[in-house]
Amino acid sequence: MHKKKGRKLPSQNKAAARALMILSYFASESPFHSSIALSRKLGLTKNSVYRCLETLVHLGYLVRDATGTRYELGPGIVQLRSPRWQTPEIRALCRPFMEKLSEMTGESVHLLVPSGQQAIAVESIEGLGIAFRLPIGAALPLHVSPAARCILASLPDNEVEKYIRDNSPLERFTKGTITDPDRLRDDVRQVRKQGYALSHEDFQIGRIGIAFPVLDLEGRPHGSIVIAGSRERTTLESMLAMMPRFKAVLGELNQFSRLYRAQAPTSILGA
Amino acid sequence: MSSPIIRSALPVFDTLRLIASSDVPLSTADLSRMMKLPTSTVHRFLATLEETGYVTRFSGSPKFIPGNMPQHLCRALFNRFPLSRIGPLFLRRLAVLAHETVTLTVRVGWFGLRIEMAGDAGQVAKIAGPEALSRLHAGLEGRTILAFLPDAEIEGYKRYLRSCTDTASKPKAGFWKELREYRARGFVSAPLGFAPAHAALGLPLRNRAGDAVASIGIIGPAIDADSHDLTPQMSAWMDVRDELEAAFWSDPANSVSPFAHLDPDAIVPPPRRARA
Repeated sequence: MHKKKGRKLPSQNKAAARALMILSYFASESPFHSSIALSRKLGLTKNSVYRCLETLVHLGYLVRDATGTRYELGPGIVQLRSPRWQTPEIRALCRPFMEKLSEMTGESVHLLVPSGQQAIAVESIEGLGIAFRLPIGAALPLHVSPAARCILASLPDNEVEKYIRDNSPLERFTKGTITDPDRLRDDVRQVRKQGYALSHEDFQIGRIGIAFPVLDLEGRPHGSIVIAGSRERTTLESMLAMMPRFKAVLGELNQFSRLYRAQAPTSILGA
Repeated sequence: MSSPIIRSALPVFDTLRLIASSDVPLSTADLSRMMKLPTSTVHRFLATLEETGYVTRFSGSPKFIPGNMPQHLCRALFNRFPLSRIGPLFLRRLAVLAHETVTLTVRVGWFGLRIEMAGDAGQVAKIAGPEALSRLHAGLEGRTILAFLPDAEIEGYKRYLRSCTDTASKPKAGFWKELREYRARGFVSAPLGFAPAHAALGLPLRNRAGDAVASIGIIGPAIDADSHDLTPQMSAWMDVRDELEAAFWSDPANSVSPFAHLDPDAIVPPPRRARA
C-alpha cells in the first residue's frame, strides 16, 4: 500500500521497506515511473530511489523502458505471486480500506456487490452507533440506498434503462425513495458526475450515508462502499466535510481494484 | 564506481520468494531454518514485508502467505498485454465449447507467460506464479509459440539454450523435428499422463505476418493423442481462435509486445529457491 509523503517508513528494515514501497508504485494504471518523479512523490533523495530501483532491476522485478529513462514492471515479478493462494476477492481487497473509513468516522462501513438486479451486502464493519445494521446477505434493489444507486450509476446507460423498465413501478421504501424514473436518471447522472452517492433517507428513515463505487479494469462496478450512520449521531454536512479524506482512501482502493476485472456476471442484461 | 545494489535488502526479497514458492504457509521458524538465519532477523524481514502488504498471516495464524501486493503487481504486469483485455471473452467461449480449462500465454523473450485462464464453468480465473513463466520449449503453450516463430527466431532460441547451463534447458531428443511437424499441422498436441490416448491442444495466436505472439492451451483430454488432422470440433475451436486473432489485429498497437525493446537473451528470471 502506498505511504504518504513524509510518513514514517516501517522501521524493521528501512532499505528493504523503501524498495518494497517503490515497487508498490508500479501496481497502478500508470506503468512507467522515473527515479526523479518517485523521489518527489516519496520525499526521498534521488540517490536513494535510484539505488532501490536498480536493486529491483537486479532482482528482475523491474526493467528499464524503451527510452531507458523510466522503469516498468519486469516479467520476474511473477515469481513473487503464488498460484496456490487465490486472486484477492473483493472483500479481502476492500476490508483494509473499509477499516480506515470506519476508524476515520466511527460509523459503520458496508460493502455491497451487484448480483443481477440487486446489490448484496457482503462485508460489514460495525461503527460506534449500531442503531442500523445491514446484515451480510441483505439484498437491496438498485434504486434504493446510496450504495445500490452507486452501483446502478456505474452501469452503462442501456443497463440502467433495462433496470428501470424491468422494475417499474419502482418500489418505495420511505418517502425519500426515488420512484420516478426521470428523477432516477437524474440521480444516476449526478452520481457519475460527482463520483459518490448521498443518502436521501431513501432506504430507512434516520439512516444517512455516503457511498463510493469500487470500479474494475473496464470501469464496471466490483461493488460499492457506503459509510452509514444515524442522523442522531452525525449529519451529511459533517460527512461531506471529510470528503477529501474519503476520496484519498477510495482513490487508493480504486487504484488496485482497477487492475482486476469484476467477477462475471456484473451485467444485469443477462439477469 | 560502486554497485548501486542495496545488498541489505536482498534477503528480504529472498524471504518473500520463499513464501511465494511454498506449498504451505511458513512460520518465522520455518524460514529461519530454510535461510539459515536467526529467527530475530527473519522476524524483522517479515515485519517489513507484512507492513508493506507483501505477505499476510494465514487465517490469523503466525504463518505467512503472499499478501495482496504481489498479486496487484502481477495483475498490473498482465494488463500491459493487450491480449489480457481482449482475450477473456474468447477464452470463456472456448472453455464452454471444449469443456476444458483454457489458457492464454504470451511470449516474453524466450519465455511463455501465462496471463489468463478460463475454467469450463465459463468463469475466468487469473493464474500466475513461478510456474507461469517458463522457457518456450518447456510447456505446451510455450512450444506452441515456438513452433510458429520465424526460422531465424528459432535459431536464436537454440543459441540461447546452448548458453544455458541447467539441465532443464536441454529439449528431449527429436524435439526440433516434432516442432516442424506441429507447424505443418497448424496445432500442437501434448499427451496427458492421466488420460492415456488423449492429448491437450495448443493453438498459436499470430500477428499479421503469421508469427506467433501468444498461444491458447486447451488443457485437458481435448483430442486423440495420435490426431494429425482437424476434426469438426477442432475446426470450431479454431474459428474462435481466428475471431480472437481478428480482434487482436484490429489495432496495430496490439502487435507490439510491451517487452519488445528488451534483448530476449537478457530476460532471466531470478533463481528460484528450494521449497519448504
